[in-house]
Amino acid sequence: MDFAFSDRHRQFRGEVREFARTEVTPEIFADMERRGSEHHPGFHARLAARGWVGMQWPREYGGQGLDNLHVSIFNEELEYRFAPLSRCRTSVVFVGQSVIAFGSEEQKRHFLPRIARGELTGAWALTEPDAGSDAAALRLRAEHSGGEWILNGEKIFTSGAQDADYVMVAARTDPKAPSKYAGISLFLVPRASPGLTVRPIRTTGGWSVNQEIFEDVRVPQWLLLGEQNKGWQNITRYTLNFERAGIARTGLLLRLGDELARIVEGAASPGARQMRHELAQLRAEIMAARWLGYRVAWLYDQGQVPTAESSMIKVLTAELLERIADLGTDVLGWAGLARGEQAPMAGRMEFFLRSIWFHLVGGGTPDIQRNIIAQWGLGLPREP
Amino acid sequence: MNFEPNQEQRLLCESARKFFAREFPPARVREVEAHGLQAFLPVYRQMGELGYLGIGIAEEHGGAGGDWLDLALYAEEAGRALVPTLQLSSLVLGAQALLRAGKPDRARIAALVQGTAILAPAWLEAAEAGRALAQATRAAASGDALRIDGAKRFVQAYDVAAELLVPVCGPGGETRFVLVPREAAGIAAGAQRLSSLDVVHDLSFTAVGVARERMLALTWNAWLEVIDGAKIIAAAWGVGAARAALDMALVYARDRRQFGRPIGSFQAVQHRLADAAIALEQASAMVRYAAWLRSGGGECAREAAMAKLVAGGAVRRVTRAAALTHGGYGFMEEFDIQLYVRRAKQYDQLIEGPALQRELIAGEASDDLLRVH
Repeated sequence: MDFAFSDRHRQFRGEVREFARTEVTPEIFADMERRGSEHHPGFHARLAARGWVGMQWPREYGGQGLDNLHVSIFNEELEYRFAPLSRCRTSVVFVGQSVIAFGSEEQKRHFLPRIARGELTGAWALTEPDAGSDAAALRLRAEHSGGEWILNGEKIFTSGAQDADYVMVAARTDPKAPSKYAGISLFLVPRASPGLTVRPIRTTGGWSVNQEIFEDVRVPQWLLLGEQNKGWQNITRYTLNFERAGIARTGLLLRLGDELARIVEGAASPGARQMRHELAQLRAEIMAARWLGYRVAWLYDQGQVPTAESSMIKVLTAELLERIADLGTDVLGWAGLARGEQAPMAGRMEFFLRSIWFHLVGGGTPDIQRNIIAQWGLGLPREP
Repeated sequence: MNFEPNQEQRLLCESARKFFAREFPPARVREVEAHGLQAFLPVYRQMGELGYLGIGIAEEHGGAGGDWLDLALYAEEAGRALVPTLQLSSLVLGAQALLRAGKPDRARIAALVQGTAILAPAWLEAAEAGRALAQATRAAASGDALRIDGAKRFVQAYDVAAELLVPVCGPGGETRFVLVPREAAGIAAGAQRLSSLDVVHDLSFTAVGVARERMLALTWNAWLEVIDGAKIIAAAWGVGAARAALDMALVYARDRRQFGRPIGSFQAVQHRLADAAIALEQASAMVRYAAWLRSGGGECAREAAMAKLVAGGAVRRVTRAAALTHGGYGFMEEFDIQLYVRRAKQYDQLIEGPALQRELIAGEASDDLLRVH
């Protein structure tokens, strides 16, 4: 057992920190605000130019062969600057990692280098209007016909589908299968496909997720991802775990913990000063969550896909984010509820408290995460 | 970075787990509750013979070697079995303080490491640990000897100790540490029984005479560093206890049937235990990191406070979830889970309590959570 960062990890942290210091500019935030988007294509391109998009992939697929601890450091340092990383996550972690885990060689060679160069972005569409927490109840239909697949149905709450090049879609390919978990397959669907309509749905956070309508969308055979009818196994064994571990925002917690400490220390009001112990409690829990996060990254580096731990770090970091945003708005009083640049901390406490639902619910609700931890991690029996 | 225990650590933990399961099952915990620490001493001496008490003390000083992380991993096993924390008092605080003071008496350290003698630190002057200098206990020169007057509170291990380690306010107002024989004339002790049924003592010192050479060259700041190290081990002890409590709850939740099915299949039960598991893993990660940091000799005051705070909270939350899983059996004396529940808050208070940890963390520099070592 050894918790030292290697020289390579330290050096990498320094590089990312320096990049974040100079490249994460106020203009980026102003631009995203203007466009109502959580994505900044120019910034994403600069990350790709540094070789950091898909850095964990083998070099033959456009990556740098770096371990997941590098990815943790990268996320931490950039989140500490509030850098936009959402499309990095959807493209690399949700779509790219799935292609690595169960895609064909042809798909790996086609998609991964393009994602790594920043030329191709992806989104991941699982949820349907009538299949939320019970995601395997999905009904979007894919029928095989004349060497291609024809998709009909609906997806909802898809992050990034409005500007992604490809949407990774879970579809029902065998409706006669004996269980809802059987007969599901995954497809990489070009967003520009005829018959695919993407409608943005605005979230309380100010940016949009999407609803997609599929009307006779034709997808060539080679874009079937993973074995036909084995999609659910791949989703639960790989994709959802990558997603949950990947959206834990430890760097954000560290930053808000520091910001709030400065505010509390400098606060004139006795009420705000009273929050210092509550904040100390949170700072300790944040640091502990950070080390649990490193452990999850390390487990992935050992070749494991830790289901329960991925759910743990997801639900833990989301709930800590909620608690620190809640405490932050308490400390700031009315000013904590003010939106925008002029507000304390450029309105970030208000923003996170308003958009916390995205962190809590995205990738599966806290309730679902707890089911997974109990059943997959603690070995408790499923409900009959 | 490597989260896997190495071969030696694995062997240490396996042997400690087997030893405690064999020599200190819950029946022995109950014996100690009924008859006091004396009933624990035979097992404690075996811990000495096996080298457990010497972990974290260099072989050149008569210890068993091993670093602070080894000690923390071992402490998780001791906590799992609810082993009384005598080792924390006598070795992790006591012997470490003697080593810190320099020129340690080899025979004294050897006796502590073997478990044949026990050193009880008596440093609290209030119900809650603080960091202020000792004031209520004073030492004055009296011929060739020292004369000690004052009081200490909530002293653990007093009833089995050979000596007490007492911080005193010296003639010039400076803090000094004195090794006081337990049998010295002028010490009066009042026992208090805790929720755990452990007995602690409030001590008063009236004209207690001790030889001058019993004063140690140990500064208050050095003592606080000893405290920081000990907190991590206390936190690990608690994490081990919490892990055992969660394991017991899981067994019970799988076996116990109500409404025609195992209660563990109900989401209300699953979610509570999932939360307990999250709290436990979070605490375990923090405690092991802090122990590793202390092993390298690095600055660890902040991380020690964080580890103690998070672990203390986790023990309380996990044992609560475990007790509720057991329903009515959760607070029946004949069931073992209550042994864990009744100790949870004590682990939270051990060495230093949560209120002080929050104060210590709040007092740290505020803008560097990102800092890594």
